[in-house]
Amino acid sequence: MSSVAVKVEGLVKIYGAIQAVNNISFEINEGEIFALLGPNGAGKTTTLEILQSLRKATKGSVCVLGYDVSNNKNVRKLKKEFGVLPQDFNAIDKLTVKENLSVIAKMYDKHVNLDKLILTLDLEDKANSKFEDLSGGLKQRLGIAGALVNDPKMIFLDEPTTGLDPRARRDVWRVIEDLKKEGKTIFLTTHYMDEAEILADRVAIIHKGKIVAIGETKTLLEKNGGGRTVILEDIPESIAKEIKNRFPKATIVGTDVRIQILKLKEVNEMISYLTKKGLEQSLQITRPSLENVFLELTGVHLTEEGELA
Amino acid sequence: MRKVIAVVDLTLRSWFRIRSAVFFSILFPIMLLLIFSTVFGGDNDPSFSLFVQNLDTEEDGESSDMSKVFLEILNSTDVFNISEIPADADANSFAKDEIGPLGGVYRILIIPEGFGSNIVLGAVGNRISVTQSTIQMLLQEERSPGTPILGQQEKEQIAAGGAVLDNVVGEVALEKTHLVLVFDPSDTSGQVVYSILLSVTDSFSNGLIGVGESISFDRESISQDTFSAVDYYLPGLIGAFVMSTTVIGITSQNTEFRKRGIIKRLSLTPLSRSEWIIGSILAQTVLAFILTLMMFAVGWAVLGVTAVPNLLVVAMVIAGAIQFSGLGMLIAGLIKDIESANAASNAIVLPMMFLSGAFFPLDSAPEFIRIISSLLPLKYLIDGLRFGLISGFPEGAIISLAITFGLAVVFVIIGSITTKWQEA
Ligand SMILES: Nc1ncnc2c1ncn2[C@@H]1O[C@H](COP(=O)(O)OP(=O)(O)O)[C@@H](O)[C@H]1O
Ligand SMILES: [Mg+2]
Repeated sequence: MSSVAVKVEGLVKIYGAIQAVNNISFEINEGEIFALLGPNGAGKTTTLEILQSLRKATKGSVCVLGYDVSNNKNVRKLKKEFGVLPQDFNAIDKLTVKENLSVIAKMYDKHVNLDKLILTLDLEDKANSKFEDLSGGLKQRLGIAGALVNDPKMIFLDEPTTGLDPRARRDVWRVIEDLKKEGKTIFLTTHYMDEAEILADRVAIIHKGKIVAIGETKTLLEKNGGGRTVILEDIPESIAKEIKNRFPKATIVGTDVRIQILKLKEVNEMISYLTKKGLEQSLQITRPSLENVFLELTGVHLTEEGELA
Repeated sequence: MRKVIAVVDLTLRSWFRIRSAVFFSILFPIMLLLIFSTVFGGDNDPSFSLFVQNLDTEEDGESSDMSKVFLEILNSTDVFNISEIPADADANSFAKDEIGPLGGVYRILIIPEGFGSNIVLGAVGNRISVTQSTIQMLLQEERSPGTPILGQQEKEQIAAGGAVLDNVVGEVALEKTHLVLVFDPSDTSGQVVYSILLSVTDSFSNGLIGVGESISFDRESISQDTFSAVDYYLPGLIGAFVMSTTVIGITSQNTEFRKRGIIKRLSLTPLSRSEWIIGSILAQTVLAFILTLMMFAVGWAVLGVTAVPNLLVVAMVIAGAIQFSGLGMLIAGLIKDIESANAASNAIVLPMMFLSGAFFPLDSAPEFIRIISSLLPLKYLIDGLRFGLISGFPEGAIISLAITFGLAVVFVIIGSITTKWQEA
């Protein structure tokens, strides 16, 4: 039986006139990877920073590793037990990889062996390079190393792969998977559907400060992302409109048309229609994905950059 | 403590790797020090202006020899820019006319009538006293216990001679000579001038009256005689650059670290806000000491400075570094944008450097400038350093030290309030 690492109930955060987080509740089990998935501005970072006691909640209760974060005494103890990769992580430009890690390490009573940590994250070639000279992927790996310095039970990763190229993203994913194997509890936020799908045991989809779906990744996919999506790329506007007439479920995203289709018969119908128009090569079919889940639940499409379309 | 030292370490390490910081905070001040003492270091160095009215004249109207010697010594210290007021003039109105309506403050040293003869008599009296005590010792000397060197008759003769000497000593009994320094209460350098005069006078009278056996005379006379332009600029430049290094250092570190999320990253570790603040201030204090030592080193090696930083100088550097770190924290707390905050710290630092008399004496500046100057914290840091360098640890320095420490407390409290460790 796994116990609960994080318990959030009725969390609300209001900044002046903006309601960034609107009454959300969720739990994270010990040892799992939990992803908060949503577009930019959905309230992910705000939620995370309240859990880290960096911000005060407007309303609701937040319990992390058994500590109520509204109590300052708890916060001091809690900070020793979690590790954080903040969004848009930066270290001190003029210090080297090793020096930056050592700065963080000195803030704890106990810390892991830094040379080993550097090896674990494949940073040994760059250990004596200044932070300002690192590539984006290496910077992010240093950030994750920083989150591991105190051998924490719980790790927060705020958009760990945003802005990285595909290879660097996969490297980071591998590190996160290894951490899970070590039994760490990981709370990550992302706007990448594939990231959540590949890494997370459970996902909460957040949209405009509200959780619109939460559950095991598998279950979410089966329930809402079922069926396939037909994507037609570079479709002239007039034809796009015609398609929309024939298949009312179609959505137009820029010059693309997307249609979620449950039956094979409909796929065949679509193919013959496109062949008639000479557009068959623009057709792609995707497997069930969180992308569909998101579309289904919010009625909008989430782009690679994390924006709504 | 470990965490505080970690903050000092990270600050100093990254600071020393920023070339412009090292240049503007250490090399630039040294360059200025060299330039200033070359340009102004000649015979006509602008020091403290001082009027002297010599009332000690002989019958023919000529100044007494002794007062001339005293003026020579004052002149040779190179600290003062001396103008003489005729003995028969009204000193105040003469000085006012001389400096003109916009001229600013003036100070007048009045050498009283009888200055020379008092000193001569004092010296004679002093020598006689020494002779007398020698005789006394001789009278009591014994060849062997119970058998005195001198016979009874000889003793009586000597005693008679001693009585004559006693009479003479009574005649020439040392009268205190009262030198008077007149200065405006708004004249913030008045205290400094006063204490320099005091020590010059001390070594002058020691040299004449103390019969050459006083050790303190030698040491004092050396330090007094070697005042030069650099003794004016060294404390000014140290004060000014302790200020600019710490204000700009803290402002840019705090704004940049905040913008780039480094403060946030640190606040997610067990490092507390107060440990961060103490560490940052400590780092700036270390930098201030490095700067001070470098400036002294150049002064010793190249410019013939002989002064050594005493306790007062050390205390002033500490108080100054804390004070201006607090100011830097305040600026960074109020202005979030990196460029605007740096512009603001420059806008505060540069005028303060010029208005506090760091680079040139404000003696001849209009009154409102001197009033502004007396409201600036840097003024008291520089005054304190100047006291420490030129005249040891005189009473006047307590005020500068107290004001600087007081402001340090105030700035650090306000600066800490604006340094946030939690987001809204
Ligand atoms: N410090 C702040 N003050 C005011 N509004 C904020 C602040 N931080 C975030 N917001 C707003 O709150 C909303 C949620 O932001 P955030 O939690 O950063 O979203 P996400 O991490 O999902 O991109 C956004 O509309 C954002 O503009
Ligand atoms: Mg975010």
